[in-house]
Amino acid sequence: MSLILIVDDEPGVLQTFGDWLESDGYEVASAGSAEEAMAWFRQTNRFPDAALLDIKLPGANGFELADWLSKDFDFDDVIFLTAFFWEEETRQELVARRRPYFEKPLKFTHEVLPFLRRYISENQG
Amino acid sequence: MNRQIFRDGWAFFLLVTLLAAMVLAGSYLWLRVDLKNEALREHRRQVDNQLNLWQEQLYDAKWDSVADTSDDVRHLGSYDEARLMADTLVWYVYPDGHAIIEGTAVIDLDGRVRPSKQAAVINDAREPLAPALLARLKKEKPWLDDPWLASYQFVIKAFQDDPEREALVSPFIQAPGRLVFVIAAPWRDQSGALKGAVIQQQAIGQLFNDVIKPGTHGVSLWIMDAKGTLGVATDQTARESASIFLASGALPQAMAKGLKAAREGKFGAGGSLVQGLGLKTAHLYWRTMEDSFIVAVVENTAGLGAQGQRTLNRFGAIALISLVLLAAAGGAYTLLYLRRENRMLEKAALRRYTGTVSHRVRNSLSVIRGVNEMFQHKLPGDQGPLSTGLVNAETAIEDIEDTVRELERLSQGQVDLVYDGQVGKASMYRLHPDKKQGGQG
Repeated sequence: MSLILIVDDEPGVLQTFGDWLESDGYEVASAGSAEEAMAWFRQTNRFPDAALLDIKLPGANGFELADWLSKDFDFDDVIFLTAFFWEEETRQELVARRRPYFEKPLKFTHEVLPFLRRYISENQG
Repeated sequence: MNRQIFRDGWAFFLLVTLLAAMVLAGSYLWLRVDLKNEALREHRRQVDNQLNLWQEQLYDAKWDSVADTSDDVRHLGSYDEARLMADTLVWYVYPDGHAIIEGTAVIDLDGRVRPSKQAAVINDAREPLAPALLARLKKEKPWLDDPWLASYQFVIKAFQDDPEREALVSPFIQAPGRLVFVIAAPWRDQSGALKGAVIQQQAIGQLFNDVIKPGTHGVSLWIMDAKGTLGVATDQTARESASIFLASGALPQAMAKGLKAAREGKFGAGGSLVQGLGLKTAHLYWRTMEDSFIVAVVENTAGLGAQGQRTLNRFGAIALISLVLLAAAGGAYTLLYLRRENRMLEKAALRRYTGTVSHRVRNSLSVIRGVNEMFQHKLPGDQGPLSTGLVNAETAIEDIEDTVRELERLSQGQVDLVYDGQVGKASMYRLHPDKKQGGQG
């Protein structure tokens, strides 16, 4: 069973996203901040198949978290979530990082889940 | 508008205007001092030159008369005496009847004029003036054909008292209607005994008109003799100045300097001093004609440098106009600046507000859409009204999402707000003509 980490400071989003992923057959871990996510990575003995990172987080943001994960754990399977794609700086940063991203509000059945299935399948293959 | 920015904007404007005003005022004051000093120096130089010229002219006038009277003395007894007097007089008269001196005559030891006397009632051809011309001139100078003093004993006495004296310039003497002075040469026999004198009589007023007045426009001037008799004063300031000069005891000192200068072959002495005239300070410039007369120009320092003052006034007017224009331009700029600043503040506030709204709404919509999609996904088959409601909820979510997206575009300046046409699904925003719709991921 594939493991997915969701990092978002909105409990409602974490809950809904988690329910969807679990109903689609994924194992789900969640964190409310970058610091929580780092702590989870330090204690886990299994890295996730993908980490969904919200960009705007309390404390360090999603981009910084992605950098830490890459540097400390050599983990680069991150997918960004953002409500700020309309902001020029956020948009430029996302384009520059060349990583997948989803704009909120998330469309689970038509966008997020099909993409995750394909992404994880390709990575495992 | 933000009060702080409003206050700061106008305070900056006032500061700039004040600084500009200070610079202009400083320039004005500096220029004022500089122009005044320069004008004063130039003016004093002109006064000095004019006084030197008058001094020389007075000197020449005196020595012309002295030379002529001395010459007449040498020819007495050789020619017809009246003819000799007339021949001398014609050098001082003009065809129009104007004469520089009142007359020339031979004085006996008793101090009386001899019958050969010639009053200035002849023209330059030695002919008597026409009756009509004489009558007209006598309206101004009733004494014209009889200008003589009752006695010239003072002339005789001066030559008797000083057997070495070669000429005499008398002090001013009050005669009917004017002050006169007499220039004389002694008539002595071969043993040196005094036989009489030859005189020329002039009116100081006439001398002033002939020699000095053309250069006195706008100047306060006075002329005084060695005894302190005021011969000419052009105005009240001149009269006050002469009175103060006399009372101060400066006259004997000036005349002593004049005598010393004359002995050195100069026209006379000169100098300047500061006088207090009432509440004002005045500058007095004086020259002596040897030790006979003193001519002085007095000027109130406040009235000096009129040309400089006019230039200064023009500069002041230009500076004032410049300041007003600067203030107007600064005011207009400040208004524009504050309006622009205000718009920038509005944009910044809108952007921050949009960030908050967008973040919250998009997260909330994620939850709602997740639940909505979950229901749609999990419900088996068509559930009638419930399925329709879920579809309607999805449409509502998309509407909210579109609205938030419009707000985001508005905060980015990608669309302009319009105030009409907002009905139903029509957006209240329009794309700016020169901006494409921003990319939405």
